[in-house]
Amino acid sequence: MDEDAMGTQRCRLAVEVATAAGATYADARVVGLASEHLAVRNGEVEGVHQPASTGLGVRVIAGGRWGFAASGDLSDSAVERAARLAVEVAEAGHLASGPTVRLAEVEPESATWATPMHEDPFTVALGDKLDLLVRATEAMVAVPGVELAEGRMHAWRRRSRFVSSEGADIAQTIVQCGGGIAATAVGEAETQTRSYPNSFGGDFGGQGYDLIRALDLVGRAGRVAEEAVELLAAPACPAGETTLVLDGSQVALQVHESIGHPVELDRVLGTEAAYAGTSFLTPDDVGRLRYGSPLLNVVADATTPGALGTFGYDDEGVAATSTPIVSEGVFAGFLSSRETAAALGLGASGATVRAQSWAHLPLIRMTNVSLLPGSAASLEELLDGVDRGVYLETNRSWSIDDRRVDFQFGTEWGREIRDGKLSRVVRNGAYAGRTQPFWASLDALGGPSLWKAWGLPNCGKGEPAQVGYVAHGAAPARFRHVQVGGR
Amino acid sequence: MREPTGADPLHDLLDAALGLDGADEVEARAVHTWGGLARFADSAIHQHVAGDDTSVSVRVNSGGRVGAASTNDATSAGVAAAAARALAAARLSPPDPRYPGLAGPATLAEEPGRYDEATAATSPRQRAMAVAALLATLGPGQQAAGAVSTTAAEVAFATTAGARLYALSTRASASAVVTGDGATGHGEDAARALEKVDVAGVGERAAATAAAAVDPIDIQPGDHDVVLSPSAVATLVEYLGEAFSAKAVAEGRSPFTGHLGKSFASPLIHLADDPTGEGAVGVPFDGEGTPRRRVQLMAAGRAVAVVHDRASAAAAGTTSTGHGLSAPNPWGPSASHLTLSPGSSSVEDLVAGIDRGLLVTRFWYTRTVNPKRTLVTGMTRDGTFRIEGGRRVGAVHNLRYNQSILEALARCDGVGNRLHACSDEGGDIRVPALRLRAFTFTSASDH
Repeated sequence: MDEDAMGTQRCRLAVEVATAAGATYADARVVGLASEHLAVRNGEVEGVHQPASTGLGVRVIAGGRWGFAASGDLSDSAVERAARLAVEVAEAGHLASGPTVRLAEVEPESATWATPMHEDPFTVALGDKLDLLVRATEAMVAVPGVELAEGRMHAWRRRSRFVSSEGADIAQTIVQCGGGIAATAVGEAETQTRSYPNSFGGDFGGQGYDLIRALDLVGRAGRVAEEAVELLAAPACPAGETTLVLDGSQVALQVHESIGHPVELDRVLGTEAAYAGTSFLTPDDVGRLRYGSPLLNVVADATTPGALGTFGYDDEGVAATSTPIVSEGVFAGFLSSRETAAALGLGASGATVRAQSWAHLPLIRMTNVSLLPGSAASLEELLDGVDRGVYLETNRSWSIDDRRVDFQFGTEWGREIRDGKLSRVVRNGAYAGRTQPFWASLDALGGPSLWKAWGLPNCGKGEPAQVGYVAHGAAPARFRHVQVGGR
Repeated sequence: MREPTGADPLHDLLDAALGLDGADEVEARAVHTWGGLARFADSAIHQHVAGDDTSVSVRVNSGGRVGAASTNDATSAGVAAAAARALAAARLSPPDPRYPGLAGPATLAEEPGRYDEATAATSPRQRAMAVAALLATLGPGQQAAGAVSTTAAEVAFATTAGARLYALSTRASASAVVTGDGATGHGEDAARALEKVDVAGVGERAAATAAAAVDPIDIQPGDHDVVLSPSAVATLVEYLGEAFSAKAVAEGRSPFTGHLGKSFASPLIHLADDPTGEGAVGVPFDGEGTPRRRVQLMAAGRAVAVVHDRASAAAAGTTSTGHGLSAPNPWGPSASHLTLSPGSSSVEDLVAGIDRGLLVTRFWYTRTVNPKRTLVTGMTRDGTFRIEGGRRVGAVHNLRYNQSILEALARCDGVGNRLHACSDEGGDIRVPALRLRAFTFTSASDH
């Protein structure tokens, strides 16, 4: 039996056993995960790891309550045991029971989807990938003052089969990859790290190895290293209220923390209150709340080509879609699931529900929650007219309160802005604010030529904790009257 | 399954890797985990999961070239295939000059109690009953969100250098955020056995804190004397623990680089990583097969030692302290059983020593701003209170802090007399409450 047929057979068995045991709804996913993780430090290979994992997750509604069970053993007996355990879990919920679970309607589909790509990262010779990271880190550590040069590369392949008691049968193969480099200069009082193309290990996408080739890691290594050394000797970013221009990657993280998370409907409804937190938004805010300036247009688009949060179907079998989140500064919609869509009477799920693996319960996750581009043709156009301000690039630290209002972000690289031009380099640039006033202060935004989808492979949520793979399209942006500093 | 596979079957699996042809050395590690977690919100269980898995990771050395692979195909054929993948990866890799070799034979000390059969066999209904017991402690109008978790693990480890280890462990935890009248409170507990977790106490503490936290008022940011509850202390200690990694010290990323032996904190501060202490959770050997050891990191405020894995120990000319993660590990050794020694004061005593200040229940979303200064930022959450005249007098809105952990600990003048196990991040941290002078808050929220 081939892998796809085996997956379908296992899923069907789980759904049949669960429904026979009393489930009024059941879905099952068989997921095969393969990944490759390469780490190189100062020209020496620090880790080559190729994990693989296959298993089944069964989700049921029994007695009006959810149950979930997972097994890494795909034998008939283990699959049947997992299905019965999921029902047992659901039935135990009567000891602390809430409202009966209801799901928004979805047309069950039989479909196949795969990430479009030119060059499969798993077919590129391992030696070539390591050689690329070795050369890039050697180039960085050769720069005087750099003590630590790191290179990382990651690739994931997720083959899944989804079957539901409603008749869905979906096969999907998602391939993602990415990587980056970082140089660290060490001083007596502090260290300074410069990353390329982004911190968090680089940039990532739902695409093939083309993404890595386009980064030109070796070609950029020298400048990255020089900037780390330059930062160590730079003055601290001056403190005060000023005009702030952010690069696209930092705008992407700002979107992630202060728009992506607060619009997750499970947070809004309180079901993540103990761990991930809640939201300042309420269901009544749709169409009424002013989120930011009229330049603020945000969509959750799981169909963005090549982005890390792109897929064909979510883990509830709902086809990927694009949902307006903020339109001309007004809050327009949530990230939703079948359950939360039904609870709010939205009609249909926003197709955002995914699980890290077969062993995890699917949750509402960001897809590609993107700030649509503005009109500025260049960074220079954003700087034009700014007498005094600060330009900050690449995230270094991030913190926001549990309702997603009060935030503070630190960055790696800063430049003072003087008379419309980038001036001296400053270190430890950070800014703080509150979500709505900050987005209201957005007064200029880069256009399509400056826009790209930044992949973040480290979004944490849920208990047991799960990692989500999401992306945010963003361009450099300008904000007025922002509190900045340089601790 | 809610029971162990057993040492012999797991070692038989590992032997399928150790028998790999063409490798100079092979290390294999099998981890079988099972258990479940019941989440609740609005005082009802809304997500309850259960499951089990067995994974095997294999590391291979071929001529100084190292590769690793893992699988959850827990058959001899599956493990042999993973070993072959690791060997293929090793042969395509450049030599690793810092490869420290594999662990040899080791003897584990007898430590009864790391595994509790009842916890390992906990049913979904028993977890739900624990949730119900927690919810029963809430006051009128209060709602709770949180989780009750039970997990079990058995780990087998073997190398061609002669290591052959096996151990079992269990862990149970309960946590809750209680909401009422717009205020929140927090409680948590963790132990090796579910029966040792004070589930009702978690609910009672969270409910009492929430009840006290109603009607918060504005507070000006600035330097405030504080009493930090154990959950807040645990956050600071967890972030400080990163500075005691031998790799961070060797790379110059730690404040202790070149300064071990010097005083950094108040003489009241005694910090250890103690995976062998009473109640410590997890198996008694690390990811590289080294028996875990207690390491005194800070004594009377002086930084005295760091934790090592095999690579950092080899580079430093010493031996591993049993703080290695499973290979490959580019992050270095990790102190994951941090314990701050208790003092002599009750929380009431600590509060009584502050004329004007704040009592902090918990920190939230803490992140490192400057690792070499141990400067971190985060928010307060789930109950922040004014102290006036040595008494807790009312709640305040939450605040953002930007504070060097070491500088804060240097201004510690009171240590609580009760250790508390903190569970939220799944770690194993035991800390008392602390009184710290002039803790820096940089902004205030409106909730």
